[in-house]
Amino acid sequence: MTPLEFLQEEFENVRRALDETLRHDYGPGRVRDYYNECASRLTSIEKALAGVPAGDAQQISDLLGELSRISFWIASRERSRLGEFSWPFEDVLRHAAEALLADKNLGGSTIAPVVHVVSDGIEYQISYEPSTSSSVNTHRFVTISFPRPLKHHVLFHSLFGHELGHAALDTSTSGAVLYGSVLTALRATGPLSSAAALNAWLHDKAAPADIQGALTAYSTARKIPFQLTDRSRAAWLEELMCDLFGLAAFGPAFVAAHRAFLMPIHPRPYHVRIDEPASTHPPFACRHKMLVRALKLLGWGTPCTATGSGAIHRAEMDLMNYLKDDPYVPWAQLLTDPQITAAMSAIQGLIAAQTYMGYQPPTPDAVTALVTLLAEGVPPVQATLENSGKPLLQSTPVAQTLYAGWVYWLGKAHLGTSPKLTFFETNRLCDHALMQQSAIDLVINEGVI
Amino acid sequence: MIQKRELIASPILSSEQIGAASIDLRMGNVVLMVRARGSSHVDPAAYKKHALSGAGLDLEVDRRQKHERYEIPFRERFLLHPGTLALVPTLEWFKLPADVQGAVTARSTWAREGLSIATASFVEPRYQGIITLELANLGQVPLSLYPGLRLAQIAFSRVDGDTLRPRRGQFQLAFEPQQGDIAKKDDYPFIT
Repeated sequence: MTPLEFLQEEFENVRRALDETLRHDYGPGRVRDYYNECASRLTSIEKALAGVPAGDAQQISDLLGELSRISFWIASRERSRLGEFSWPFEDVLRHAAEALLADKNLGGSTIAPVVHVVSDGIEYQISYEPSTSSSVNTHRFVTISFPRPLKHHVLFHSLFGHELGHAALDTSTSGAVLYGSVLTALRATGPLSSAAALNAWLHDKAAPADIQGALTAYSTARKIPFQLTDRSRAAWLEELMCDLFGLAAFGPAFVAAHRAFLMPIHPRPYHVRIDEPASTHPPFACRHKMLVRALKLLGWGTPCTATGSGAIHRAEMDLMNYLKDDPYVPWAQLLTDPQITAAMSAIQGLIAAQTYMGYQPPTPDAVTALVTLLAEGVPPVQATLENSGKPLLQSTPVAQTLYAGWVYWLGKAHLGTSPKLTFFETNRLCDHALMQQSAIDLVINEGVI
Repeated sequence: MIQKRELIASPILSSEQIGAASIDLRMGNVVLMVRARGSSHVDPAAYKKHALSGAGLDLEVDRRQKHERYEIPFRERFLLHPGTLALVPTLEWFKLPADVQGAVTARSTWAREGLSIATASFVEPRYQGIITLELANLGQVPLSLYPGLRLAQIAFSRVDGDTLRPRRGQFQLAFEPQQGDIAKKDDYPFIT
C-alpha cells in the first residue's frame, strides 16, 4: 500500500466512523451540527485528496493529520452515552460556551463553536480545539466533560466556571480581554510580577514549615536551591485567573464548590510540586485565600437577607462562615486587593454581555423563597399563584439556584423540622429546578402565561 | 390549597392547567422506552427466582436493560410509535398533604389521538416527587410528543383522617420513573 492509498483508505475509515455516529442520538440535539461540521471538513479533504500527487509525502502527511484530528472529535462523541449527564446544566454551559468561546475568522465574522457534552471525564474538563490555520475548519469543537459519578451534582458543576476561563483564554475575542486586562493586572506587582519575585516569595522566611522542609530537602539532595520557572509563573497566573472567572460566573456557589471539591484532594494546602519540571498550579491555600479576598471585595461575603430575619439568615451565615474560613498564613496571599479588583472588573465586563452566566446576588425574598422550598423537599423555582389563580413566574439565574442549594446544605440545621435532605437529594432537587426553570423561562419569553 | 401551600404542585405554568379539583400534568424530560432487543419476554417468575436465589444483581440487570433511557430537552420531540409504552415523569413536582390523594388519567384531547395513560394510577397522601406517566399509543400512527405538553391530569380527593404510608419512607423523594417490581412476595404462591 502506497502512502496515497493509505490516505485514501483512512479517509474512507473516518467517513464510515462519522456515519456510525448517526446511528445513535448522542445526547439531546446538536447531532446535526456536529455531523455537518465533520462532513464539511471531510468534503474539503476529499477535494484536496483528488489532486494529491502520489509522491507528495508532505501533503499526504498533512491530510492524514487533518483526518486524525477529525477522528479525535468523532471518537469523543462516540464515547458519550445517553442520559449520563445533567442536560439542564449542559444547556447552561452550552449557551455560555457558545457566547464566550465564539471566535472571529479572518473575514471578521463571529464563528460560534460546536459544543458537545460527554460524561466520561475523570475530572471537570473543557477541551477546546486549538486554533489552527487549517482551511477545512469552519467551526471549532468544544467538548465539555463531566465526571460521570457526579452527574447530578450540580452544586459542584459551577467548577466549570474555572474551565471556561481556560477555554476562553484560547479565543481571539474573550482571550484578548483576559490576556490584555486580567493577566496584566495579576502580574502587575507582587510575587507574580516576575520569576525572581516568585522565587523570593517561595523562599521567604515566612513560608510555612511544609514549604521550607521541601525546599531544604531539595537543595540537600541536589546541591542547588529549587527555583520555580517562568513557565510555572505563567501557569499559576492562568489558574488564578480561571478561579476568578469561576467566581464571576457563579458567585459564592463557585467558592463553596471550590473548597468542598478541592480541599479534600489537597491535604497539604501549601504544597508546591518541586518534583516536576514545572509546577502547574499554585498551592490550594493561595487560591482559597484569593477567593476569600475577592468575595469580600465584591460584597458577596455577607448574607443577602437582613440580620435578624430568622432561620434563612442564620443558614446564610453558616454558608458565609464556611466560605470565608481562611486558616492559612498571610504568606499565602499572592495578590493585592487592587489586583484582584482590577481583574474581577475586567472578567465581569467580559461575561456581563451574556445572560446565562454572571452572578448577581439574589434578593432577600428570592433567597427566602428558594431555600424554603428546598427545606420542604421541593425544587427551588419561583413559581406561585396569584389570588386570581394566575401563575406568578420569575426567572431565577442558575448561580442563584446553586447559591440556594449551598445555603440549604450548609445551613440546614436552622431550617425546618422535616427530615434533612442528603447532599445527593439537595443536588437532585437543584438539578430538577434547573430543568423546571428552563420551562418557566420559555413561558416567560413567549409571553403565554 | 395550592395558594396556601398545603398542596404543592410546582411549577404551574398556566392558569389553564387548573380545574375545579384537578391539575393538568405536563410531560417531563426523561423517557424510558421498553427496548425490543433487551429481553425475550417479561416473566414474574424470573423476578421471583432472582429474589429467592439472592441474585439481586441479575434482577437489577434485567430491570435496567429492559428500558432505554432518553433525556429530551424542551422543543425536541420523541415519537411514540403504535403499540409502544413509554414511562415519563411529569414536569411538575408534587407534595401531597396527609388527607389528599390523587388519581391520574389521560386528557381527553390526547386520548382521542390514541394516547393512553395506560393505567390510571393513584397517588397516595404524603407523596412527594414527580408522577410517572405510563404512555401508550393505541392509535395507528406515531405520536410526536414534546416535553412541556399537557398530556394528563390529576384529580384530587379528600381522604378522611390522617394517613401513613406504611411501606414507604415519609420523605422519600421520587425524581424520575423507575421500573416496578412485578412479583411481590405475596404473589409468589401463584408463580411457578
